[in-house]
Amino acid sequence: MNLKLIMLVLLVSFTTCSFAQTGGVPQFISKGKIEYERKTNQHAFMDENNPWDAMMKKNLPKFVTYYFDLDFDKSHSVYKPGREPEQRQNKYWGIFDADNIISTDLDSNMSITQKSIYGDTYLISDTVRKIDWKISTEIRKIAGFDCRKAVGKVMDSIIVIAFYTDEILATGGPESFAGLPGMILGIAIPRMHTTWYATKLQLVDVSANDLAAPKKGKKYAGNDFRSKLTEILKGWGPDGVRRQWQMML
Amino acid sequence: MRKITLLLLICSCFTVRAYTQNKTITGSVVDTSEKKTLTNTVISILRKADSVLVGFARSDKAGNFTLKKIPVGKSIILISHPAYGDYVDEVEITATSPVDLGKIFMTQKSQLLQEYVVSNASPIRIKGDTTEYKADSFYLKAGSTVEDLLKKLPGIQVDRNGKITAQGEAVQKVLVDGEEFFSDDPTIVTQNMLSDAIDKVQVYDKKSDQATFTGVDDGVKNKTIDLKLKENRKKGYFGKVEAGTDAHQFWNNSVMLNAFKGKRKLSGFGIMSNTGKTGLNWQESNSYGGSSGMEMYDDGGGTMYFSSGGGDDFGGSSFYGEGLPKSWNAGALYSNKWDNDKVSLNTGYQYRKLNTQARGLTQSKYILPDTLYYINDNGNSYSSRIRNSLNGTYEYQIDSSSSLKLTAQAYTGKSVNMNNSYSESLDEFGKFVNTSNRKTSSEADNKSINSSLVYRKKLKKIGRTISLNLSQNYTETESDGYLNAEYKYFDEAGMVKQSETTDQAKLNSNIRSTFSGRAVYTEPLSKRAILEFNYSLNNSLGRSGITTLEKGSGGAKYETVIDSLSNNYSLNVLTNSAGLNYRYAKPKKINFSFGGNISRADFMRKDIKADSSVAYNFINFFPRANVNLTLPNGANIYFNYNGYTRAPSIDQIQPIKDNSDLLNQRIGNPDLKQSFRQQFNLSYNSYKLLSQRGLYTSFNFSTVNNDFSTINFVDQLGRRISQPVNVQGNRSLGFYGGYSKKMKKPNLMISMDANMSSNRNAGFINSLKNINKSFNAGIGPRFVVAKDKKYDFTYRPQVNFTKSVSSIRPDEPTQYFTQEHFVYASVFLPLKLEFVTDCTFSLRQKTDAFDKNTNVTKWNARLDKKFLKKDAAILRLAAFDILDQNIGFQRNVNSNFISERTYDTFRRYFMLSIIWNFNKSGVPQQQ
Repeated sequence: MNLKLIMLVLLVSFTTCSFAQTGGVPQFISKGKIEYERKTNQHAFMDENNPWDAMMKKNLPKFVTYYFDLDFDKSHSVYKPGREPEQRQNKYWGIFDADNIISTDLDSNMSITQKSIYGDTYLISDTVRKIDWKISTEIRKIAGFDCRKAVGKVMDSIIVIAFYTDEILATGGPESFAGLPGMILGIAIPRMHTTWYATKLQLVDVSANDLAAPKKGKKYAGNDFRSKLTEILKGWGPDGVRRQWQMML
Repeated sequence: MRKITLLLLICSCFTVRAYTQNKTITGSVVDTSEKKTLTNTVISILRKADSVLVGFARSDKAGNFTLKKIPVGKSIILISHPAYGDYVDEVEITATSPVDLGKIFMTQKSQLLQEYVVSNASPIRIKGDTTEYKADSFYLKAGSTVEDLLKKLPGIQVDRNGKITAQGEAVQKVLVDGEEFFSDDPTIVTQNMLSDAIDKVQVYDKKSDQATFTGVDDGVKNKTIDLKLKENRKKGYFGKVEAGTDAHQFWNNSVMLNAFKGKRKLSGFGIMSNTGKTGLNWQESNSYGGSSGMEMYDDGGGTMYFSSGGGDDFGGSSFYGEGLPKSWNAGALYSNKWDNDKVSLNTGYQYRKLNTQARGLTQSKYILPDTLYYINDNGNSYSSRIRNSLNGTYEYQIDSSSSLKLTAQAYTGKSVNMNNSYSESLDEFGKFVNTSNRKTSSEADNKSINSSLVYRKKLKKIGRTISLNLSQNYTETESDGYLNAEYKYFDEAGMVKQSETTDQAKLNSNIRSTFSGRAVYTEPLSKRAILEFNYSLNNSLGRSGITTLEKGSGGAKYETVIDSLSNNYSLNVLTNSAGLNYRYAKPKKINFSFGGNISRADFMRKDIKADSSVAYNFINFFPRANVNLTLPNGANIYFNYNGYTRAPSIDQIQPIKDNSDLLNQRIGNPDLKQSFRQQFNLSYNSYKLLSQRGLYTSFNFSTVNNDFSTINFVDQLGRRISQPVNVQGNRSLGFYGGYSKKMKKPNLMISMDANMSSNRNAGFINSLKNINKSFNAGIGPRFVVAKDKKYDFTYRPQVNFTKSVSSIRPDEPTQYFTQEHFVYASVFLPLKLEFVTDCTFSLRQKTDAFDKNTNVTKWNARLDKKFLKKDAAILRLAAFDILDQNIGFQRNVNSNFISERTYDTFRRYFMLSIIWNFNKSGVPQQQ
């Protein structure tokens, strides 16, 4: 009840800021907190002809949903795990085993990622991933914002579909995605059967503390980490390839 | 799409002027009507060839913008502002000419909207707000695309650019089986997918993601087309043929085939082997067999549980018993799914026959307070078992919250058993105490049918669930057998002082029928906590009878009933059990649960012949608790506690007289109390991915109050008479530790396993209490050097130490070492050859009791040659136990006796086999 009311208030506030089409200057957002919902179709990874997978398919829900928060100001963003889902998520073996806290300096294009894989924590410094985004004419509303679609490619062959909005000045996004002319509010990666969509934006004051880079973990440079992970997961078969994509996001 | 229609190309007057040598674009944006400058407008430059973003900037307070480092070439400029229509134009950037775009005028969307006309077409409504078209009812040429199909559907238009309009509105999303991002190229689904893959086309209004999320309808609806794929797109078969022989006495042949069409699966197999293969292995079972008997369910709180419906010893894939088996096995399976997988059926038939010839020798040493005792037992046996079985599983997903599952299995079987054994008891000095010569044979018919019905329902509140389980089990065995035995007892001088012979026929009949019901209800207390209630009722009715016959005076037929050895009993057991469990889960932090069950079991055994009965009851407790803690470093600590009481069986209280072995007799104990066992387990596991280091440790401890043990009286004639009694202080302690680490150079994986256990067991010998303490420890490293598709070398030594001391003869401890060294190598050779060899050296230390040499070196090798397309066929030359040394071996160290058994098993043989895998998969290629 209460939650709904809050949502409604939030909705109304979005509407006022984003539908400011009736004249006047629209409010551009330069700081706040975005919540993303990451949804993975885990049934897509299960093989119908394998009895084990068939049993899993019957018992595990089609989608697993997790939440993430992105705190941002004009030049910094920190992406980290958010609220606990309402219902416990029964996850298939090997779907997003890595937990990330990613801080990105949008001016210098540098990022620091604290990655926790099976409890081990790594601190990876890297430049922001360079993606050749193809801008399309398609516009879609996400969390009340008009977002333009862009299509890019990562890790040589993985297609990423992004939706970004001009109304937010920061050029960040969920996970390690950034570099579009506005905030990315939606990401879809067909090969991973996963989407990230913003569910709400809170116009809260974001302090320097909120935007502090993570510090914990064994230090790695981005390239070193990637080559090491690739080397290890090579022996894990097709399953390893999927994990590798997920762990390198 | 509506927005796209709004896309406005404003042809305002601007000129490209060259000022300096920089590849920089400048300009400013202005409102058309109000002529004011626009702050924060996004100016993006796209490469014209592929519309890749090459640079962007926002306008400043004055509406001015500067785009730096823009590569030369034909480009598109895209200017966007939330309140204004998009501005798009082409710009050519040359190496020498920086570009000033001057003033760019933007038009407000509110003005544009006035020109937007919404047309209305009458929709065809079939289910709610969804219009559904059945794809097959529209005629299309072979090779037509989804777009061709859409063009045919009434109410849907596709224009020259591929833009789709449904019911007068532009289609915003095209989904495939509900998934929007079905392939890497979402924009060309309709143009590239073939129409014959489509079962149905659904058109509906999809609420915005936000409305779906909040439940508050924001009025935003997107026209959506959902393409439902056909299920029977997959059609084909695969199979395997294997034939192997040594051209003399060994054979191993099998044929397996699976033909599938969509969800329908039809498979069959036949196996005949006398090299130990008795059924489908795990992999083959996945491809050609039925359900693995594995069950998975969740507890309502999101935790998944697995249970395996255990088959019996006759259902395995390879032979683990003693002796040499010959096996024949054939089966057929049909399975299908209907109605979006909501209904599924799985049925199968299987025939099994297993003949086993075995021979073995057991040497035992008994420790008595004042003396020692040896028993040697030498025997051979033959058994033949045949079984025909049928099974079926029907599942029905009633709706998203409830499901029904019905399973049934039935078999009929026949078995023949023959046993000959000679056994001798020797005293400390090797003199005969007694001997026996026994011959038994029996023929049995058995039948069984069991079924179960499971209903599960998730209620509206998350975590509130109900499950009901009803099951039934019926087994019947009828057997006719013969017992011939001769017993001799010796005096001090080594002369026979007494002898007995038995020559009897035995007719056995055994029927057991069980009905049970169980209900489980879970109630969520909070997001993280759940309370579970369960109740079950189980009624088991059994009847067993034995008629013992001997030959009439002078007759050759068994016709005189021996009353004292014939009986007819019924046994009824009624069990009521109720339980309560509390579970709490905080993801990635802690999980714990505690609770327990209490049950009452009522036993009633009737002696039908004597018209008397014995009745008693016990109340049993089953407390349990467990905690699973995830540490910040990712390691897991797991603690588990389990306690349960166990009532003595009715046979322990009052056994039915049995004369099948006169040298080992049992008597009952009506004063027996129920035992209470408690088990504690603590484990710690951690794994580091990048350094590839794993550490696994676990400790367990168990203690039993009033454990059941046996008083063994060894009487004057050396007969062992046993009676169950309660004993105190039985306990065991165990430890396991494992560590593995990948070395960088050389490419070596090292692991180390260690285990240790210590047991304290109380028993009685001649009414004297004996406490037996035993200790086992083992350690074994493992070294693996492997390169995929190149080579794999493994060396795994293992050393074990065993020590056992009994309190009545602490001067006679038993202790010995055993060692096993396992070496494995596989190498891929040129010409598609692969060579694999392994060798196991087993070294078993001799002891005073066991002075036989039982060391064995078992060496196996095989050479494979792959041929045909995709290496579908393999020609294999294999050699088993090349040194011809293999023996079956087992050593037991028990409370007051130690025994060692050796038996016949496979020895050296060579085999030439051909294995052919074939398949035709009918999965149509996605373009």
